[in-house]
Amino acid sequence: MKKRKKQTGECHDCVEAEELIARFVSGEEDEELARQVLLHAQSCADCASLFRSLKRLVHYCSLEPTCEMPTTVRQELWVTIRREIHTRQSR
Amino acid sequence: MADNKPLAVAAPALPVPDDELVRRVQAGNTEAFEELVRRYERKVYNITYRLMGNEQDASEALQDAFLRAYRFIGKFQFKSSFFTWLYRIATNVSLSKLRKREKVDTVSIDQPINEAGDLPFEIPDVKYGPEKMMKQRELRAALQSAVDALPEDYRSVVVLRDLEGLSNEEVSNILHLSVAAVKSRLHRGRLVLREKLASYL
Repeated sequence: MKKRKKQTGECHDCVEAEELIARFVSGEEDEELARQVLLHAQSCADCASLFRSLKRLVHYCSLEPTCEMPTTVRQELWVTIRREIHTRQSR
Repeated sequence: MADNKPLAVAAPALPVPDDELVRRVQAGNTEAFEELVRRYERKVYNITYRLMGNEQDASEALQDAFLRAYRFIGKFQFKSSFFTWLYRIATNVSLSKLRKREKVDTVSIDQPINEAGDLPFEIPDVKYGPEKMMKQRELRAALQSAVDALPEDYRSVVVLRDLEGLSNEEVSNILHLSVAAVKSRLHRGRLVLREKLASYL
């Protein structure tokens, strides 16, 4: 892993760890990646926190229900579409 | 007396593929276009709503997106899937409207992340039903507001990838970005959301 000093704490491997965490929470959950992320997170509170919170964020986003399209929005859409179709047909 | 003849059950008709509907529209069949609208109106509304952040603007973007799709469908060359093309139009229309809106109504990303501006962030308590539901509603509102406050480049990627559940490749096709750029913007966008939603996470 690349070495760099984080702004806070003593962790030196966080640049690469962040990249791995980003991949992991995006669904690239192969065993080696998981092992590396967990290994690093065990020794770095900042990255463990980053990992947990990004995981939760992605999870919350995935639970977001589909927005219901209000009836008025749908009606307006269809009025617009039919008007356009009518206009083009009458040309 | 019971009739033991097997019932003749008509096989359900398979939906006409998008590409076939597009060909029919290109040949002048307006009903085929209406079918495409029915097929994608909700998904497109979701994208415009997530990007615009309110019903009225989302509705306008939705109409504009389908109007443009109808006007330009003759030029569709089947180089991508129809939905990728349509989502690209919807995203571009929304982002263009956002730019115009932001010119007249600049919003600071440090602004409170809910419309009322006064709801405190609290950690959702999963133990109680109504309480949990209230917190979920609060989280949902906070999430949408935080997405609204994202810079445009991050917002479109986060909406398409995390909220609409598209793959990196699909998002890359829709936004004309490399997959690497999608991943990078997605991560940066998530980091901003993480900061905004810290007390929920």
